[in-house]
Amino acid sequence: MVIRSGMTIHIKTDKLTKKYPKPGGGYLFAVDQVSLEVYSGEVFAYVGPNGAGKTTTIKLLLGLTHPTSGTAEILGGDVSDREIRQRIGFLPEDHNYFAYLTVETVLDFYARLFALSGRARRDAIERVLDIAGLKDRRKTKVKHLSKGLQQRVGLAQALINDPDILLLDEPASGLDPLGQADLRKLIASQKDMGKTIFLNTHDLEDVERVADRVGIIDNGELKAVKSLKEITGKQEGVVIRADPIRDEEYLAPIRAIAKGVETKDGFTFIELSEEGQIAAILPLLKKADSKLVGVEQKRAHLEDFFKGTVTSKGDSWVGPSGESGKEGKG
Amino acid sequence: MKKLIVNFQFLWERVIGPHWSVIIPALFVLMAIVWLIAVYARGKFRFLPALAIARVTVLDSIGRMEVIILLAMGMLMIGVPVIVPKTDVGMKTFEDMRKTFPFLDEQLENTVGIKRITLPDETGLPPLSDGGAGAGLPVSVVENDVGGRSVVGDEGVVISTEGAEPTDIAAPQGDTMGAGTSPEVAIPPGRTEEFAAQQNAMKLQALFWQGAFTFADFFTALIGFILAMVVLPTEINRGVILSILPKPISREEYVFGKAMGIWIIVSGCFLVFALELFAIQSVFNLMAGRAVMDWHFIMAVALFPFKYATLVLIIMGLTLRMPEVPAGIIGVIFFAAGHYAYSIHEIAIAPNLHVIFGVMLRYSYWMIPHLSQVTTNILDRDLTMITNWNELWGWVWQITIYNMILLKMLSWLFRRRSL
Repeated sequence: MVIRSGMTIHIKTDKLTKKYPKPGGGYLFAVDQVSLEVYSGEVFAYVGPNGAGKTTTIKLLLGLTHPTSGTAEILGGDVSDREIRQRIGFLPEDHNYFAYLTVETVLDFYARLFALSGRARRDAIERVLDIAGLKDRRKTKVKHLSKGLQQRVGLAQALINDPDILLLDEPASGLDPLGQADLRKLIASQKDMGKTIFLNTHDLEDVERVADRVGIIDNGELKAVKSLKEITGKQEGVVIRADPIRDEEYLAPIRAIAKGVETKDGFTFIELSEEGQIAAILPLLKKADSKLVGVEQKRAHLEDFFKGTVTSKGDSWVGPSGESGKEGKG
Repeated sequence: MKKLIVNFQFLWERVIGPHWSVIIPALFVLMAIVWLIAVYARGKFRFLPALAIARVTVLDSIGRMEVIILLAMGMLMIGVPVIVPKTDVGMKTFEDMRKTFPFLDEQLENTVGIKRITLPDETGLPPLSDGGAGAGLPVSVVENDVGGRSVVGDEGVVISTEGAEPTDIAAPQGDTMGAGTSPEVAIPPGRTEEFAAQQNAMKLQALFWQGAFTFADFFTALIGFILAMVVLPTEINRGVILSILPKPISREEYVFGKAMGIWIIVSGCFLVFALELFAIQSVFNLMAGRAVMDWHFIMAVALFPFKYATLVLIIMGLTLRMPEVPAGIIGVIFFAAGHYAYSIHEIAIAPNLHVIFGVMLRYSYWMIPHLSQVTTNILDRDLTMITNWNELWGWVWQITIYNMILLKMLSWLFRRRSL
């Protein structure tokens, strides 16, 4: 289905629901009526607190868990279709690989699942070893790798088939800052290659750097789907930086106008809700003998949007597959 | 209802029963062919990904070393007791043990007819190997209770039973018996005890050999039991499966590959044990100037993996529905019932049994895997010949098809499972 110029829907869910019977009666809704669309070539970040239903959604998308109701489509079809799975790459969150085998043997195994010929397998292994930075570890047994390097093995296996769509569940887990930077580069390069990326994470900083659109899930419900520009492009007032004002006599009238005043690092920062308020502040600064150093526009952060959208504290009730969610009778 | 059951029982007994070894396997084969055609025609099953799963299962198990350690332990436990009675030191030690532990002596006499022989010095007769003093004198060859023949010496001592030909007994004695090709075994009067002593040594060796073979059988089943019990829960709990199933592989192919991997490991272990026994026996045979073991033994060994597949599939299926330990216990009970299938059948056809109970028991007899034939009983006394090929292949077919049905059930259970 073509949506925008050259963009098609790669992931689509319609009222996707997964509920578990709860001990003592009632149900726990791990995922509740989630309807979303992810377009080709975009990085879609699926964020939410722990136990919000992120991993369950991915499992439903991949057919690892069966939905109670609703439908999920990937690449325009049912994920049980072998041809469709030929084009999917997935990095699970709680993963383990065959610990007693070497990195190369493990990757060879995953390549065999795609029924690749011997030559194609070797080429694919070389390619992903290079991407994941594991070339010099190819003969190392997985159990001898650090958690971060094992995560790289996970990324390598997810890319072994050069997938059109990549589902990453908490990919930065266990990676050190350098590894995280490499991961961001990897996501960016995959995006440049036209791949669709479904990024399941609660690392908002990463999301701000790489995502095109963000879906926020909480208690199994999809609360909001917005583009990152919509969230962070919104101007939220200005911040004036001036020479430090320490005398409370001068600070009091400023506080009366400003949203917030703070003196730190040798400056006084005055936060205003509107740009028009600058004119009222300038005479007060002059009176306090404080020189204006600069004016910055204040933009919304994803974190603020996230906090404003999410209501749960996470981890409230642990269900059969480790996720929490909303309780109900349905 | 009762009439219906009795009529069905009549049909079963009179029509199917006498030809069950042909009809039942044929029906199963037909079902299997229809199933295979249906599956392959729709392209729903591909062997290559399944073989990749089997391959990685074997490699991972070898890498973990548990299987290697179990294999080494088994080889040691099987090899040593077989070698011991074949050596003078071993036999002397064993005789000392018999003196120290009277229960051992008693047990040997009661179960395998091995008697302690003390030759009277006053006989003054030369050993049998020194010449044919009494060669040519006949002994009695009589029908025994189990339908075989027994060779009985002049003092009524049973020298051999279990349908063995006299030539089998005579041959190891060397040329002095003069009866290597004779239907009768010549034993001089008053020498029966000496002859029996020689027979006892042979019986003892055969006893240890058979014990080792049975142990190899059960030890292999134990390895299969352990591996089958943990293979799926481990992969599910550790999340390994989450990176496998999103790949283009069906759940059916996955469980087929897993079961096949475990089956290959278990069968490999049994093959190693069997080859060890074969090698030991052959070496001692060659040292005694006899031919190496009969190749029938290897052919018989090839049949054993069928039943390990049954064990593996039953336990793997149960682990999808319950915790590992109860699954293992139920699986072993089912497996053991298969080993005693004959006894269940005997109870089922007991004349004074209530008809409904009898019918239920008889059908449950058909529900369990018929493993009772695939034990060391399929081989003759010396464990070198398969005694009844036709019956054996009937059972093997039944077990094979039984395993295919189990595999289908396992796939069905796994397809419905949320991960």
